[in-house]
Amino acid sequence: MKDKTNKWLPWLSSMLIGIIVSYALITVTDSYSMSKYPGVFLPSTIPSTQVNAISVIDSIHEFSGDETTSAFYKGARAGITISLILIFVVIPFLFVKGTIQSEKRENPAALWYVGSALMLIILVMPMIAGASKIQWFQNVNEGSNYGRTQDLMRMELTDVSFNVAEQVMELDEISSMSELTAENISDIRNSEYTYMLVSNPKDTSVTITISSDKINNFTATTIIRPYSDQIFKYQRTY
Amino acid sequence: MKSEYKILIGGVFFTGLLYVIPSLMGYIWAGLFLSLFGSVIYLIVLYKYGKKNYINTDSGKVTLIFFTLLIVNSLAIFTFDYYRANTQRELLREIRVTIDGSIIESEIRAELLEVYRAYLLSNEENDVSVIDIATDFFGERLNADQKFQVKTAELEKELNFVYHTDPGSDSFAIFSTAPHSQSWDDDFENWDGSVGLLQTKTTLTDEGVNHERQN
Repeated sequence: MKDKTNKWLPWLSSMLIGIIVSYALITVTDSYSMSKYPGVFLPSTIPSTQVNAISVIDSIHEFSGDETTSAFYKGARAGITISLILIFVVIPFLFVKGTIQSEKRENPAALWYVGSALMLIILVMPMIAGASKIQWFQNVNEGSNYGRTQDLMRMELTDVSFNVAEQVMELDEISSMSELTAENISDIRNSEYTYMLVSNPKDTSVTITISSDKINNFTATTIIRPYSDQIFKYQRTY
Repeated sequence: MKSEYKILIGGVFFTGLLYVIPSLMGYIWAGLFLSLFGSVIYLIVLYKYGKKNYINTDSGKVTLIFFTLLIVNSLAIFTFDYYRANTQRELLREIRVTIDGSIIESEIRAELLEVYRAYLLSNEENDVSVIDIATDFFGERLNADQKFQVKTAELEKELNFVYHTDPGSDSFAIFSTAPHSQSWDDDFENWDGSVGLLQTKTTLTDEGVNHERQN
């Protein structure tokens, strides 16, 4: 029994070291985030997160039309290269070297504790991070799908509003506006969303509302005034 | 120098260079995966070195499990992050295209609809052409170099507009492009010589206004 306990004791110790080092890393990263340099400059246990950060910054700059500075790329490249060398080269080496030393001395060497603790960190931290990344990504996907559908609905409403404005302009008599119903407009008839159209011949306006119960009862409305300076405008969006 | 340090230095150069060289050419993800591939070779060499020098056979098994887990873990998380980065990039592009497309449609289509209204009112009395009405309506906003000045001048910082008249079909068209919106077809040739950008064509004829997205 005593032998079995002794066999696992070094591993328990290295796990403890691993936990302490992990907390130290988190503290260093947190305090670094307040510095003027981006977090990607700092070595990470998950280098793909750093590469992803560069990709996202590139995408945001593409979106806004800005350019990423070369100093940023240099700093980020250095951070990622150091991460890769530490994770795939130095830490495995320390573990193997430490194991060989411990076997020769018949007792765990200091190098073994360092190597095994770091090895446990680079194995466990990506697993924890991976699980939280998947969870976060699912939430983002769901949110972006809602946003995408709302954008499509607004675009369709804009299209319909322009077509209706044109139809009103082409009427021979304003009184014929009362004949303008949702059922008579092919864009609305063929749409997968719900529409409500109210025409008001008194002030020559048409109010169109689009809604969908699939995305939290999203509703958008336009008021069309074909004979005013502003032909149509969004009235409200929920 | 001891052979173990030769392995270490070889690993540092191999893994480091396989990332640095592609990333200098702009291929950051290719560099990451190449570096992982390089480190697999290094870890095999290191494992063989360890196995040769271990006294206890269990140490070899533990090393093998750790190295395998390290590679499998890294490959899974790298692949997931690569997929995530692509999805985010596509999403941002899509948002930009949607914003630019909506602004173009609201601005240009509304302007041409105003011209169409003027055309319908003028045509009740005289027989006039769409081009004449549009030229009269926009006046100095139609530049000699075919550039079209929109009512909201700030939009010209982000979007480009040109007009085209076709007397044969009596039509007046405005082409709009968005320099920051990469669209459906990456090879699409835009009117201003750029490639793959969002482009719309809004055409006014005697039958009304037609708005189409060309890319």
